[in-house]
Amino acid sequence: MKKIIITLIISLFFTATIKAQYVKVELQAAGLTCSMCSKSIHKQLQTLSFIDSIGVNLDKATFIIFFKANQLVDFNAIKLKVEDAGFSVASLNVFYNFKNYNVEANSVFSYNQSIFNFITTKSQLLNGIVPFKIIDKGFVSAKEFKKYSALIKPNSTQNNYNVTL
Amino acid sequence: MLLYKMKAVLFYCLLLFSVNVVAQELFPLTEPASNMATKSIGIRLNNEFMPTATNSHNLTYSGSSNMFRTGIEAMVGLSKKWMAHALVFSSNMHQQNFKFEGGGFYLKYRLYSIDNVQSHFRIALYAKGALVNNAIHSNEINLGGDNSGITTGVIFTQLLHKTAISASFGYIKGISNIRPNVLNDSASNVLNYSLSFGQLVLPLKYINYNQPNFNLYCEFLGKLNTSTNQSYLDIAPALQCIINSVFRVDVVYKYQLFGNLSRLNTNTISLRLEYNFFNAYK
Repeated sequence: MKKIIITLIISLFFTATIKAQYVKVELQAAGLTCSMCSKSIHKQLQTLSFIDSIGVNLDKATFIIFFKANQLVDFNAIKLKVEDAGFSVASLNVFYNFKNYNVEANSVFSYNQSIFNFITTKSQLLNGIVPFKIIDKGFVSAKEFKKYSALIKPNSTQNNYNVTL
Repeated sequence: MLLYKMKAVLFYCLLLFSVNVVAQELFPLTEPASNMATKSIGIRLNNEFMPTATNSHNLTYSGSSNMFRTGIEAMVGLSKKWMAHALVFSSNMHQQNFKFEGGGFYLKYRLYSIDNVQSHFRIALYAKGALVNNAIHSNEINLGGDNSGITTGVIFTQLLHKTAISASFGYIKGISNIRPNVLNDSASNVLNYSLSFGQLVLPLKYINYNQPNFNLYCEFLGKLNTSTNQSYLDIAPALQCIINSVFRVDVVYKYQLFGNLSRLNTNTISLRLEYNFFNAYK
């Protein structure tokens, strides 16, 4: 609990002082093929106030999401909007601008009031724009989630995510 | 004759599936197990032309010989699991003049959903009620304008690499139409079933939302009146065009393959227009 509070305080501090580290999010939706279905997801995502713009690859049902500066980004809200459109998230990759970050399995870092726990990650130095994938329930296919479910801890707060490189 | 029809059906299905392209599940005559997006509203205009009103079963019938039914349907996505339709219809099917017949309400619940990239399997439950003021001429029990009643059933829909297949099973309980049109209770129980195939023909590759989509459908729709033990099976090939990802036009020709159930008509040409409003309300 103490750890969470500290990380939350740190994240609040960093939110205020550091320029946006989220470069973009790449979201692939599952359960659809038609452009009418993609459009319904697109329209749902547009209702989120922290989203600045959305690009789309209709052939792959993949959305490239850019965020507004100095806004709280809520990945759970993104997932819920895809579900509201009647579909699911197949994958959600956050492209993050790392600055000499040493990552290993069970590393925890926070940004923009979100806490990210790295699961099954080899220790390495991250520098520059690197994507990481949220692997919590609803962010990957049911089949893939099964693969991770033994490894991940239940999230203690709303904005706590299990991720992998 | 029956063998010839079966061969024609088989040929049509083979033709449909030899077109190796992508598909849709926006079936013209049946609902898929999928729902509309939350807070979206669809408005649909249904037009049914029945050019050759058959009266092979010697029904006591006084309607127009060129039958036409039109209806307006409003659809709303209440949540990711619930959606509802409300519809009204009018026709000249049961008398010479065109008149308002009644309306219905439809509710669908998405019970089960498993999604993968470009595929899904879904199960939904539905219920529908209709209240109609028409003379009763047939044992078909059609809640789409001819009869008052209630129905409930289950829908299974599989989308597989852009090919959609859907099946439904339901039970219809007819009740008397608005008085004095009393339904003979010994003909009020009907089982209905459907099997639908959908295939998207164009575009071959999606680039933007404005590309028109062309879909081919083939639906089989059957009813069995368990009270009278009469049944029929219809086939309904259809062409669909979706414009700007929001406006949909369906042209359907439905005709009876075989059956012994007394019906007002056994072939119908339908023209359906539908417009969808996303995020229609807060």
